[in-house]
Amino acid sequence: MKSFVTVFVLLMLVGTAFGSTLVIKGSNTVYPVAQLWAEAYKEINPDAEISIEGAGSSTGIKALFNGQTDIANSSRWIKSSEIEQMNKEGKYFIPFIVAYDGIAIVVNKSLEIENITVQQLYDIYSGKVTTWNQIDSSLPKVRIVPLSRDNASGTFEYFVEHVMKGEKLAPQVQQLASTRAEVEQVMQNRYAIGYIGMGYITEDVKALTVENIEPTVANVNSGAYPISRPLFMFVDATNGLPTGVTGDFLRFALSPEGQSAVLSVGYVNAYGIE
Amino acid sequence: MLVTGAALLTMVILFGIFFFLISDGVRVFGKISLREFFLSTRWYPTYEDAEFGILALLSGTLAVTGLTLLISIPLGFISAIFLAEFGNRKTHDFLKYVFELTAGIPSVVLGSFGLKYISKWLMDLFPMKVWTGLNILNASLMLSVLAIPYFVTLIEDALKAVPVDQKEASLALGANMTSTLFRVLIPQARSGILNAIILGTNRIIGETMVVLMIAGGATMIPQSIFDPVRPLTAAIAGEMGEVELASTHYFALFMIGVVLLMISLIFTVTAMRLKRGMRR
Repeated sequence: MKSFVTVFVLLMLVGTAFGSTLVIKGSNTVYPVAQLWAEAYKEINPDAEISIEGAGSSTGIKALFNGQTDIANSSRWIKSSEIEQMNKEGKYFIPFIVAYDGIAIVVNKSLEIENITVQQLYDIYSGKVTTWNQIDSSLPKVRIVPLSRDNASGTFEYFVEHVMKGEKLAPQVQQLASTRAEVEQVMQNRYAIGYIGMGYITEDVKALTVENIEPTVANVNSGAYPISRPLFMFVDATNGLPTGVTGDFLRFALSPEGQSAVLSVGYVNAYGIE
Repeated sequence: MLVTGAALLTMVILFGIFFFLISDGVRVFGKISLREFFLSTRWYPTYEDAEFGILALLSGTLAVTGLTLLISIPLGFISAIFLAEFGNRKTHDFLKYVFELTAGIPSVVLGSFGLKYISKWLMDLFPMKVWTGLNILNASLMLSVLAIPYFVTLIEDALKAVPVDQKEASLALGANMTSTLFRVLIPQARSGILNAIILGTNRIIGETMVVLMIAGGATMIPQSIFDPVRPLTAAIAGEMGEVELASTHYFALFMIGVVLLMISLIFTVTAMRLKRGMRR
């Protein structure tokens, strides 16, 4: 999460004596869902002011050490160096899993393929395999059309990290500006393949099983589905569990209403939804 | 006073943009060699071992612009001649109205149309050749919709600017309309026509939304008009929002801006020279 997006969602209710400000910093993968929660939370609690920045997981945890944030969003687990620093400073941060980022592999409904392996995905996106019959001999010898998101998206970063192991995408991989465009192309093109956030799966495309594991909420929550990861919110619990606005906001995020919102930005809910 | 002030302000703003663009852009060469930047086709700005070659992106811009010009100049030219010299008042007004409406279509609407319909039609029409519906042809078709009204309006104005007595003299001497058109009107209007082509071309090179949405997004050197490309403007638009401030990637994107500016500058200056040559 090297990117540097600094966007403030702020709620202008200046002057309210009891107005309370909640500061959220960290991962830009968690950012869109945190923003949704902030908007919804504000509707219930018009006095609350929430500011959100999405400048990367490490930035968020650093800010938690400095006391500059109430919540640190993170798309990764805490690092050992950070645990050491916590010990040294006598601090104790606790994580809440707030959602899962699961990547679905989608193809056209007419393509006769049901399963794909992570290795095959690697081969397709690195350009080592270029026709469908190389994946399965019963498929036609037609060019595979691999689709990707822009290299600015969090989904792209995660895909490159976990499926490509840092290897570069082949030049012919098409980088599209939105998930909508990807889904649209997969619907139109019988030989296209794309990866999208699981919450964006529609009836119009076929989501493949990966390593024979179906992309379902249950499989993502249990960790069985290979291309998914939990998303966290870390809070400073040195003096006990979070209270006040921070605790209230977290309770809202994990509530059935908060968890339903997760789907609309393409993620998978971690707990029960409405 | 006011006019001078406005002109001065515009100049200050223009040079300000030039200055900031270039001063940020050139800083990329502290990290990347000129050679890699201009001659490498590999654009991988977000990886551990990042690469910043713009040749493939540049070829995308040139391919899309070239094909758009091939489609839109002849069509625009013919329409302009028709509007200027043929057709009665009613058809003229109607066509003029149509072109004005077309010119007002937002590019994001054209992009969506290309994404949803043209892409599908191209794949249905040439099932053997078109492996992806988002390609140079799709982008060029939609860009032509933007460019044609531009060319029509400006070329028509150029033709109309030719003094009426020249045209009437030609006709009076017994020349028919066709030879009057090709021997008198077009030669007389050529500097205005050239001007129209320059303005139109600069507009196409700079257009961003259409190519971001439907040019295909593949950072490769195209072999045919059915290949997907990622033009320079698409790279800036797609990546600027998430780029780390003052990183190599950030400076590289600014340098791409400088390259776009230079292309348009070279183009304009050459055309101005040509025009001057014509007047002599």
